[in-house]
Amino acid sequence: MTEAADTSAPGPEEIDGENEIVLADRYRILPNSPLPEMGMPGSKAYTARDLKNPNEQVFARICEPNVFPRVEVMVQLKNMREAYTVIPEDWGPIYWPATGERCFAIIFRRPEGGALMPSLTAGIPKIDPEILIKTVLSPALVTLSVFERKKITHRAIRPDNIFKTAVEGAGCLFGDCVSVPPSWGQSTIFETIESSMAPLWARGRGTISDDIYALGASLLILGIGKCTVSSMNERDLLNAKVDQGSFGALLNGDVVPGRLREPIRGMLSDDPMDRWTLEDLTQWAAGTLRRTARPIREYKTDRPVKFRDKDYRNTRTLAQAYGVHWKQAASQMKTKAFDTWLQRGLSDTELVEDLTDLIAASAGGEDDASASKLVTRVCALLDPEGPLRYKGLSAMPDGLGYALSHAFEQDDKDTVGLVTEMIHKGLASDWFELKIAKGRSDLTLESKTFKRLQQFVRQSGPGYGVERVLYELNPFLPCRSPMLKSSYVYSLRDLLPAIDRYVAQNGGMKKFVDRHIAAFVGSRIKGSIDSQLAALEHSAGVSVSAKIGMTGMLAKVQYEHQNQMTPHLTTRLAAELEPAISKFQSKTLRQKVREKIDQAAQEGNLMEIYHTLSNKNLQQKDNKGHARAKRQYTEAQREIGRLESAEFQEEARRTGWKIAAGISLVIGVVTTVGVFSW
Amino acid sequence: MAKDKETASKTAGKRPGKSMAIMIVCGVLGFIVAALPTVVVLLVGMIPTIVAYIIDLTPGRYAARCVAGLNIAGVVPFLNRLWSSTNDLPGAIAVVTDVYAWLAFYLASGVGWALFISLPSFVASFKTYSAKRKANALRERLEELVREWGDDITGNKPGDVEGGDRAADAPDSASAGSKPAPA
Repeated sequence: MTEAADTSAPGPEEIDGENEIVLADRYRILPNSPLPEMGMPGSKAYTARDLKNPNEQVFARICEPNVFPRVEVMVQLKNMREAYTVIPEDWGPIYWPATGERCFAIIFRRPEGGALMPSLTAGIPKIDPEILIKTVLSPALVTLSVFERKKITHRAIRPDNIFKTAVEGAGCLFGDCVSVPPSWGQSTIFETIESSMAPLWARGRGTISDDIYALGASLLILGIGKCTVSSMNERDLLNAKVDQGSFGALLNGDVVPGRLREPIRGMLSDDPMDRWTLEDLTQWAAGTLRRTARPIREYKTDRPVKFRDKDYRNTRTLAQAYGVHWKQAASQMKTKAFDTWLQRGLSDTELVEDLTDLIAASAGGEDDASASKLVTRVCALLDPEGPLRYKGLSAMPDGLGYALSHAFEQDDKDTVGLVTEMIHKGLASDWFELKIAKGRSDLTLESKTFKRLQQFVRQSGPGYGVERVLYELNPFLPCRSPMLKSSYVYSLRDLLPAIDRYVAQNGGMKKFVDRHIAAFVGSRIKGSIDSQLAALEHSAGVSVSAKIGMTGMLAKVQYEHQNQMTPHLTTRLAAELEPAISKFQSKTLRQKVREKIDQAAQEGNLMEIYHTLSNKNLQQKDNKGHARAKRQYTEAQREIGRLESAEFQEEARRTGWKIAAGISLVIGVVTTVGVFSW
Repeated sequence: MAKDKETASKTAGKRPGKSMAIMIVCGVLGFIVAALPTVVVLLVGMIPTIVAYIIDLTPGRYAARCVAGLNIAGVVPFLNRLWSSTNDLPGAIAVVTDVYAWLAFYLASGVGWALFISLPSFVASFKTYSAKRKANALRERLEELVREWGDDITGNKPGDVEGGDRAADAPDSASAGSKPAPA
């Protein structure tokens, strides 16, 4: 996140003059000057001016409200000047008049040249392999090496997103990869088979190997000057890739430029283990390639297996079909015929053994839960590189975050439920475990992340559950609370001003304890807020203790951003928390607390309100005082009763008699002593 | 068998009492024989006390005690006169037939009776007055407590003077957590 981006000020104030919007006091965006040639699905481009450096050619991309940019990648790219890619100069939410809400804007320096290919359907003159190597492959290798070092991926490499530079023959620039989620709008042409099997919103950020594949496909298209498969629909193209291999399918009968044949074939290899790496490509470019033979996974089966009246000869397509029709798949897996096919149709004995064990282990479970689990695991074995398949949903595990955010935006409760189940049942972490077992030790962190998420999903209270998973998996996702949706709050820094503004405009909050706000804070805040969340857990958000818990959570946010006072929110809050003040039993204490809360409310000080209402000592003092007062009341009442009782009168009379008897005795003794001593 | 043992121990316990009583009776008889003049004066002089003892129905026989002290004060001067003279039976008869002696015995006893009748009501009035003041002070305290803590400390239905609409839950569980920041 850039420091310059002004995100705290109310939206409409950003409009500077007529139809002009200024980002970070530097970049003026002109909503009436769109740049259709620079646009992409999910993010439109507009003319922008750099007020500090007017000669600089910049443009702005405005992300659509439901499409979330890759802010984490922007942060990395900002200082990555050695990479041949369009660099985001600045970014942040701005008020966008066309949508009437805050949208995310990104400022880019405009590439001096146009795209290498205006569109995939357009033909261009064939580019000479040597020029391609010099202007595309070499800068691409530099860029991807930097990306690999920084552990990020591009995921938007395609000919119409590669730009020429002003200098003839100089290296080309990769286009924008941050305005939309990874692989968003990327055609199946540039996606690996495994990635294409997942919907575009669930492909994940992938690995550098996915970028190499896209680069290979781009080189192929640029080399032959046209995209031979642009007219094919996604499904047919995927089937063609599976049947013929990506290289053959994309070539579609055309001839690949001579010298590039070998690297493009290597880059388009459908087995990630066999696909050329950056090292291979660098060595090849230097003419020193020494490639050792690598084990190739065989997806083809010896014999076909019939499923839903169709013969399958490839475990990848079979896994895909099983993933979609999982109930029928589960039934088939338990048949004798399937067992026979396993023994005779697959040549990989280890795979056969694993599948047989898995199916045997699930023999007892006949319900949907065990069937879905079985299908997911079988699919993971049949197509280990493929997406995670669960009850008809296919998603790359690192794309679950995007899948979830997409489902939330579409209000797709089924997908939300399926993703939640996947995490809850540990299927996602199992998928990573399986990969780790096969030698992918770099996925340990992801596996741990999903195990941690499993814990969040198991708890249903505010601050946990699927909302928490949503924000944990999407670290720059704006808060999706209905109250804050139009404010684009993607950082904790923006949260309190946005809530305060909402309260000022609407006179209060519909629901003070909001699951999205709680989860958003829970995932973004430094340190633990478990105690505050525990207060929300069992109260369904209506009780005073839940409101105090929520106050505590927001107070923690205020502590992190000390200058953010929220007078509108606290004034409203003071009224909401009146029952908590009334709970103090001592009138004097209650008065003192109320005065303190009122004072804090006027100042907008959430921390003071929370400290006052959660002060244990104050509560103990009040409780002890109450118990003491109760005791004193009882004792006083008893004493009054005693003083006004007949027994007390009798006792008084008896005392009189005792005194009289005493006086009499004294007189007797004194007289006796006096008489005898005198 | 246990009962027998109990009875045996009871009789064994009674035996020393009985012998003690015999010894006291013997002692008193010996005293009467040895100091007959004094006994005659005391017996006649203490008649008001003996009567008061008989008619006194108050618990602890305070009337008798009041009369006894002053009655003794009336008798002692005449005992002194007896012991200062011959201290024989004629001397004792002379005392008990003296009209002034009788006047002294009964006047002193009368003062005793007056003390018994007047003092308790005086003391009771004083104590009642003081108790009333104390009760009033306590009542004020009760009102003060109710004002400060509400009706629920009375043990009746909670209906706080001000905070009667308190919510069902206290800021207890929420506050259990750590403070968000050091103040």
